[in-house]
This record gives sequence, structure tokens and C-alpha cells, in this order.
Amino acid sequence: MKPLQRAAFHALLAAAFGTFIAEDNAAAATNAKGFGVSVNVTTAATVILSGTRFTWNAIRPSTTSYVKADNSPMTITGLIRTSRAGGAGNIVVMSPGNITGTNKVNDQLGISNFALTCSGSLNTGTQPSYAAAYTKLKPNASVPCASWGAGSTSKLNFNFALYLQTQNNPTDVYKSNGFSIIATAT
Amino acid sequence: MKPLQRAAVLAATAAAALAFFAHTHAAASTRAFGVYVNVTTSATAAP
Repeated sequence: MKPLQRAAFHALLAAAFGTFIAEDNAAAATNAKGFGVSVNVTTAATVILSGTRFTWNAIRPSTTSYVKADNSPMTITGLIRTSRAGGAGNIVVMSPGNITGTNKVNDQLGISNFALTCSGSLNTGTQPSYAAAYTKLKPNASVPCASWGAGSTSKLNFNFALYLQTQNNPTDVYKSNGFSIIATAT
Repeated sequence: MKPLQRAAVLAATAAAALAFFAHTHAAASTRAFGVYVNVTTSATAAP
């Protein structure tokens, strides 16, 4: 073998060996491990009210029918998600005791003079069952607004209207911040 | 620990675990709001 031929042969051997090493390295660097995911989607209940106070700036002492608050309805947004296994979701309105007038202690505005109507179809997902229109509020107790059954998922967007019917109530200004809207899900 | 005591401890632990489980799977949210009512015989009134 001539020197030139020998050099070419060596070069060819080196190239082949390099390819073998590269292939071997590539095979060694390829490794796979399987993995999985575990996602536990739990129940959820969040409620947001578009305002903080219903106002009746001028209502007569005696009204023959329910008068809607000047800024009613408000919008309820949030999320309800209930368990498939016997879960339930509820939104209720909790009221304080009867409201005393700011001018005269003896002036009283009964909580049962107020009534709510929850309504609307802009929720995304499971639609709720709404309480009957003009459901009367109860002092120091809660009344229903909307409810969901098991396996529900609902992104909320519905109206919460509050009404007032005066029945020979004394003229006065009545204020209270003791109401709350409560969402629960199981 | 006697077997009866051990059983009681296990039962109490299980009850606590169940209560915790039930608790963590219930969700709740609250928003407070108020009312302002001006009962008046006049036609207009300011809040």
C-alpha cells in the first residue's frame, strides 16, 4: 500500500469510527421516562356583587306595590362548582334585624318589607334554579336566591334586584350595612 | 396501649380525617351590602 493509499485508508477508518462513536453517544443520550398528571378539581363558591348599597332616595310612607331600589338590580358574578357525588350550591341573602330610623329610635322599618328577585340567563354553564320573584327577606335569617344541583359548574352573571314596600312607615332615614349575600358549594 | 384504646384512637383519627376532608371540600364566599332608605313625603331627597 502506497503512503497516499495508507493515509486515505486511515482517514476512512477514523471517519467510520467517529460515526460509530457519534451513533453510540446519540443512543446513550436518548432516554424516556413516562409520567402522568393528577388533577383534583374541587368545589368552588365565589360571589361578587356589583355594588355595596341599595338606595331608595325618596319613597313614600305607604306604597301599594313593591318599589325597586333606585340602583337596582345589581349584578352577581362569580363561580359555583359542585361535587358530582351529592353536591349542591346555594346563594342566599342574610338580613339583619329590623332597621331603626336615624332620626327617631322608635321608627322601625321591617326587614319583611324588603323582597328580592334573582333572575337572568347570562350565566355560563349550568343554569341555576332561582327563588320565586319577590321573595320576602326575613329578619336575622337567610332566604334563597339561586341554587344548583350536583355536578354543576356555573360562571355567574345574573341580576339581584331588591324591592321595598312601605306600609304606613314613619318618615325617616333608615340605614343598615348588615346584609350579606352568601354562596356555598359542596 | 391496650387494643380498646388503640381502636378508640384510630376511630378518633378517622373521624378527624373525615371532618377535615369534608371541610376542605366545602366552599363558601360572602359579600356584605347595605341599604339606604329615605321614607319621605317630599318628591325628591338626597342620600
